[in-house]
Amino acid sequence: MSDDLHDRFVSWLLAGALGDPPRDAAIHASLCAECGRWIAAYDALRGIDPGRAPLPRSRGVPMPQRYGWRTAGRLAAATGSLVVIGGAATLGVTQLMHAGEDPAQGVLAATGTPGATPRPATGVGGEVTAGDTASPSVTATASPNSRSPEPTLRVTRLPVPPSSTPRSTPAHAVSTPTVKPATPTPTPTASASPSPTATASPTPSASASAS
Amino acid sequence: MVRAAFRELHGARLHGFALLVTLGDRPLASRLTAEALAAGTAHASELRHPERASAWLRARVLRGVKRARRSGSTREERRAVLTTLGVDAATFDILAGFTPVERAALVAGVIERLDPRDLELVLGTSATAIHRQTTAVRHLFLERRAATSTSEALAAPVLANRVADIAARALSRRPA
Repeated sequence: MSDDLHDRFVSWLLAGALGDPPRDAAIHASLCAECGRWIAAYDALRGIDPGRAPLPRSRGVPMPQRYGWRTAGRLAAATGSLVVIGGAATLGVTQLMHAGEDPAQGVLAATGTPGATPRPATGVGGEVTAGDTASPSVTATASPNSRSPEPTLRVTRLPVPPSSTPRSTPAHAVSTPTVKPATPTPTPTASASPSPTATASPTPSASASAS
Repeated sequence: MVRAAFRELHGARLHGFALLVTLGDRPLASRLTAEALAAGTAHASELRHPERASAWLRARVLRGVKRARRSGSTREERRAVLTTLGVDAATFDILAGFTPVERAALVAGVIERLDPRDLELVLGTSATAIHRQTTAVRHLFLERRAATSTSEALAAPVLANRVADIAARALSRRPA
């Protein structure tokens, strides 16, 4: 009988102690030492109150401490890509800086000085134009006696650049048509300027000396 | 704003749950609680219902306990920490014999009496497994605790007083 009451009470307890226990089982449990221990065990369990815990320390959002291989791989990939990009940029800048040292590109970029080109070209250009288009007597007399020296100056100075570098010639040839005197055809400009002076000055002097 | 409300509503009890599951490891419990609260704040729109939020937070703490290492706190320090939650020495020894999942089942299912749906979320098992698991762990705890002859006086002998009152009323034949 007491074993039955004992089992009934423990069963009720193990089921969650919902509601009240049967009266006879409660009377038995109040007098049974073993049931008393079961009751104490239950009270010990129910005496635990998680709500008594203090609030956790209010810190910032903690970082999850999982620095595994995946994170290391990401870091290595990012570093590698940065190195490649930086190297490519450095190489490009270096090549640009070396390319800027070319005098021809400096002229094209309007940063170089035209005076750096060799001067002998001027003499060559002048002689070529004079020898091809007019006679030596005409050139000798034309320069001191001419009233209009401007056309002759233009003809002699403009072909300076072409002789120095092959790259600069196209640019100057386009800008000034006087480069063409290298060929025998462009005579109109060269022959037009000396002819009036040549014809005007020698004729009176020849007649005067004869008279 | 949301974070403060979350912390006020769930912080203390969640910290207590974490302390019990980690067996009084305060540094670990604090860290896991803070992480869970921060994650819960990020999912605040999905966790409007307080009970669902409680289960979600406890599940997150339990996952963290499974992955994390214990801190260097001693057994006596952990015992002292849990004493503030009402855990006596004999109960501490019994809890120390359980796994974290068993402690979580005992705390959430027996002490906090969460809804079975919430227990499924906390423990990550099915409803039938939840019932079996909580019943088994309660039985195991009571059996071990009843077998322990302790002289410690219980702070609140609620069931003992209730049984005594029922017995007294039955013997005096007073109406209930």
